[in-house]
Amino acid sequence: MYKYVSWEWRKEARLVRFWGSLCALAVMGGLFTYGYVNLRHKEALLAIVGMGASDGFFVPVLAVSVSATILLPFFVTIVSGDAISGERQWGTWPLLLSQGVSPWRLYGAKWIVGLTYAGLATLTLVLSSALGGFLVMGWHATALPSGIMASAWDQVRLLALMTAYVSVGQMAVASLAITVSAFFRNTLSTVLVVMGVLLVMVMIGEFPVFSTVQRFLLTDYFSQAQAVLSAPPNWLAMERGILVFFLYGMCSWMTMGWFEPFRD
Amino acid sequence: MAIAVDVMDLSKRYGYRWALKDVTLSVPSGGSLGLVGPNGAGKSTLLRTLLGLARPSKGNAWLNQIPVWPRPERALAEVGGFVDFPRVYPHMTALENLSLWADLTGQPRRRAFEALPLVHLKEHANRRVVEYSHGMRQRLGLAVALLKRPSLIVLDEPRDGLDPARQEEMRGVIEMIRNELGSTFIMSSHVIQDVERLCEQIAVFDAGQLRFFGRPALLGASQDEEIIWEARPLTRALGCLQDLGIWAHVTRDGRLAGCLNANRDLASVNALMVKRGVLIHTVERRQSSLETRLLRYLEDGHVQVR
Repeated sequence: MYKYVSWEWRKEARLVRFWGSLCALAVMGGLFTYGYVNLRHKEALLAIVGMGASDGFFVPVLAVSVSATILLPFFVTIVSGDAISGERQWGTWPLLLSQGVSPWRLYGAKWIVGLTYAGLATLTLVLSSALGGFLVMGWHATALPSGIMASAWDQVRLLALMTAYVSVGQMAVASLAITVSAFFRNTLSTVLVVMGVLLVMVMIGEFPVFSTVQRFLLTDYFSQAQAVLSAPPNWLAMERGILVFFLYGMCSWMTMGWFEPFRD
Repeated sequence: MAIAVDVMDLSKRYGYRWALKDVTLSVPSGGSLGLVGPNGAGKSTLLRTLLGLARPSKGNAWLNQIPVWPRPERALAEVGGFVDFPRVYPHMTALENLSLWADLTGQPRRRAFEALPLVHLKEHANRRVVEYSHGMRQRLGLAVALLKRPSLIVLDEPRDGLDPARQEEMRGVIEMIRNELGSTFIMSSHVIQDVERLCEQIAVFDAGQLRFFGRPALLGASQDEEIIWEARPLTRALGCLQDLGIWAHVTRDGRLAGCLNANRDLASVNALMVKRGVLIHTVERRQSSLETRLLRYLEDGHVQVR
């Protein structure tokens, strides 16, 4: 399996899209810093982040909270959603299969690389916005939105936990995107379908009648990202993250196993 | 002699249409088979099934005594080939591509260096594929298929879409590879001359069915002689022959090839053509070509030639 993962990684790492999207996310981290600095005294923002609004810690928190539902999934889908539909679009898929390469191993490799990218994308946004926040406003002991005081070190731990929480959700998005890509012949269709699914999830979340399925929705999961910001850290939220990831991961593999959309 | 390719009752259906129907054939190790027939006859479908790209609706195929379906990976371990137009990653160089494909198929990387001169791409090894011409990409696809030094080579229309000079070059490359590797060889082509030159056996397909399978010499053996006219205007000359009830077709080099009926002699046919304003440059009698015999065979079988 290592051979396949290394192959996929080498191929992806040569794509402008791969590094370009990470650079774009890093730039967005900078933009979030700029926006936050200009908006930090506004009442609407103060209502969300509380008294510690002038601390650099809140820049990545806000960046991740705002981007988790649409922006990050969009980048993740552009790269991961290219997995199989991109091969079909390039016309390399038939050549791969006709050389006796196992499509399941290819899928597995693409899945692992897609998940890695999802984690990298989240980390890039968090690091760039955290760096921006630190440089502009510094990083001090401050009050969390819940009113509890957190030291600078506590904030680092909380941010790591929040990054892990959102990354796991983005990995679920990547898993969904890779599965959808196996059914399409071009990347644009995959991106549109995945973004459409996320939009439907947002809409379902608005109706009380769907309250039973709401906790399984990725959009609901992302909207709860700030729940991890408590002292001591809220590990229960992380457990939910792992559950959601396994749910979407298993659904992806089961869908592939059922349809086997690799061949005519 | 061991059988390299064994196809048994193979059928493939897309919706309500049978793309391939009850095909049975076999190719011995080291042998060569050419698939011919009009567009949509089922040639590519057969190759797609052999290469694990299309699941058969019925029947199965064995490559080197290993069943292709349901898991084609094992049967394709010693097979190299492509269907349609082979494509590699355009953002990488030829050498990077071949190294990547060699790693993926478990071949040593030196194979990448060995494969490039085989397809005359050594000088372009470090150019990105996006800068390659159509013909160069076609040859690079062939290099990918040859990385494994396969015991069976399967090629679908390897000269399709190439200009005449590149077509000739590609034929030379295929001929050289076939002689050098000594592998079993299956190819489909619209260029009958290629099949005649490269293959010991032919399989004629039409409407998804196998119409003929055997040595080319056995196809329509009764028409052993044909007349080749170099005449202008071509359409008037062809119309004239058809009016006389003489079966004829236009060859790839722009001449007319036809078979005379028993009740027609060449002199009277020529005289009539001249009388109708056709300018005849040359007339030649020769052993009937495979192309002529194939076209007649398909027509005699009440099959419409597209």
